[in-house]
Amino acid sequence: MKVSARYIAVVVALSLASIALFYFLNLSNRRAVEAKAMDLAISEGQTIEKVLGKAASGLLGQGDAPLIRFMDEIFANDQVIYVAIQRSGRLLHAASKYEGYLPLGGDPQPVRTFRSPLGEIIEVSATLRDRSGLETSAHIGYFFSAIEEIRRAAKRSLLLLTLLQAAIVLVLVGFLFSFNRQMGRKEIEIQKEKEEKEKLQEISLITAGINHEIRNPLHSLYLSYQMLEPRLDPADADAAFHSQALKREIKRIQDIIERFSTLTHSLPVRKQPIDLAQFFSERQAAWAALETGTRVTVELEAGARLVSDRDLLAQVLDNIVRNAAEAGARSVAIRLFSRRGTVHLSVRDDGQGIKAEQLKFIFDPFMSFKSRGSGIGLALARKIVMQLGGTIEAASVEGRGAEFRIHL
Amino acid sequence: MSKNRFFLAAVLLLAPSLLPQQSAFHFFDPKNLVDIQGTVQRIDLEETYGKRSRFLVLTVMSADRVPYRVEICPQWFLENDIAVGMKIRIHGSLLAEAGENAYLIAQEISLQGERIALRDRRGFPLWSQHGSMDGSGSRKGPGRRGKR
Repeated sequence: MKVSARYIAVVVALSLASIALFYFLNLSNRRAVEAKAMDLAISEGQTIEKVLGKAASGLLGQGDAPLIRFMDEIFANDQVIYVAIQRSGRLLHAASKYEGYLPLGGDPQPVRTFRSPLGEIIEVSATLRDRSGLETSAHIGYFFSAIEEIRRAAKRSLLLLTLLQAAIVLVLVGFLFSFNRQMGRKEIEIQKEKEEKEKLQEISLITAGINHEIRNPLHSLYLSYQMLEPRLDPADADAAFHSQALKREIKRIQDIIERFSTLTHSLPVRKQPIDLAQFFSERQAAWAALETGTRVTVELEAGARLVSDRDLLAQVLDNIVRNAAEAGARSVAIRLFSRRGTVHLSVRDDGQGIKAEQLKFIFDPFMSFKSRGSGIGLALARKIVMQLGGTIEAASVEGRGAEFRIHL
Repeated sequence: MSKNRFFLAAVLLLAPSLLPQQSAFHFFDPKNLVDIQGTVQRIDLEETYGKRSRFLVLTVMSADRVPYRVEICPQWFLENDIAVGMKIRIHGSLLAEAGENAYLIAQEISLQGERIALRDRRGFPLWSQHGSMDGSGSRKGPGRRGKR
C-alpha cells in the first residue's frame, strides 16, 4: 500500500478525468437548456410573425401611414430594439433605440436570431405582397431577455456544479491519499514490530540459555565468594582489592542477566499520580550515589501532572542518565512540561553525542557504541516507555551531546 | 380601469415621439462598408439622433479630393483631440454615394496611429454597450482601442 509516483499519477489522472467528465456533462446539459430556450424563443417569434403578418396585411390595405403608426406603437415596447418597413428592398420607415443601429438581414426570414452586445436579438419579419405585386416587409427586432437570464443561470449553475464536483473529487482524493499514507505508515510500523518481535524471540532464547547456563553457576560462585570473604586477611590490602573487584564483577554479571530477562518479558504496569517533586528528588539522590561525576539538574513546569508507573519511569530515566554518564557527560538537564494533554520529558546531556549513522540503531537491543556498554539500557528504556503508552526519540549532533525526548 | 386604458393609449401615442427618430436612411449598413483616408477639414457637433447627445460629425477630404461627412460618435465618448488638418483613416458604412452628399457612419477610426473602435460589425454603438435600451449608454468612456 505504499504511495508510489505511478499510483499518484493514476489517481490525479482519474480525478482530472472525472472533473472533465462532470464539466462536459454539465456543459452538454447547459447547451441543451439553452437550445430548448432558443426553440421556445423561435416558436414565440413564429407566432409573432403570424400576428404581425395578419395585422400588417390589414393595415397596408389602408395605406402606409396606419402600418407606420402600428410599427411605432410596437417600437414603444421596452423589449423592442428596432422596427423597419421595407418596400422592394428599400427602407420605407425605421426606428432604433440605438443610434444608427438597424441590423436587418439580407433576405428576410420569418424568424432569425443573432448575437449583439446586449445579448440575443430575435428579428421577426412578415413579408406581404399587394395586388400590384409590390413586396413590403415589416421587421421587428427585439431582445429576448429570458434567454439571457437562462444563459446566465445555466452558466452560473455550470460553474457552481463543476466547482462543487471538483471539490468533492478533491476531498475524496485527499481522503484516499491520507488513508493510503496512514495505511503505509501502519504497515511500516507492523513490519517493524514484527522484526522486533523476531529479534526479541531470538534474545529470549539466548536469555533463557544464559539464565539456565550462567545464573546457577554464578549464584554458586557468589556463595563461594561469601564463604571465602571472612577468611581473607583484612590486613592484606591486595587481597581485599581483588576480593572487592570479584564481588563487583559478579554483581555486574547478575545485573546484566537481570536486565536481559526484563527485556524479553512483559512488565506489569501500575499507573498512579506521581508526585513529581518527590520523585525527581529521590532520583537525583540515587544518581548522585552512583558517583559517576555527572551532575543532574531537573526543571519542572509549574502545575505539571503525570500519571504513570513510578518504578518503570525511574528505570527509564536511570538508564538514560547512566547512558549519558557512560558517554562522558558532565551534566544532564531534565526538563518536564506538558502540552495538549501530553507530558514531555527532555533529557539533554553534554556528552560525546551520537553519530548520525548510529542514531537510528540507538534503541536496538545489544547495539552499544560504547566500550563498556551492554546495549540493553536504551532498548529497555524504549520497551518500558512503549509499555507505558508513550514514545521515545533521540536527537544528537556528534560532539555536542544528545537529547532523549519522552512523550507520555 | 378606464383610467389605466387612457394612460396606456397616451403612452403608446406619445412614446414614439419621445424616442430617438432617425431619417429613414440614416442607419449603419454593414453591407456597404468602405475605407477612407483623408484630412479633417471641418468639425461639427450635431444633434443627429435627437437632443440627447451631440454627435461629432467631421468633414473629411479624401486623398482623391472627395469630401465626406463622417458621423463619428457622441462627443463625450471620444477622448482624443481632433483638429482641422489632422490625418484620419475611417472604416465605416457609406450611406450616400461619394460626391457632394457622401455620408459615412464610422465603425472604426485611426487617429495619429491610434485605432478607436466605435461600433461592432453590425453597427451596434459601443458607447451603448453597457447602457439601457433607451440608447443613453453607460457614459463610461471610450471603447476598445489599440495601436495599429
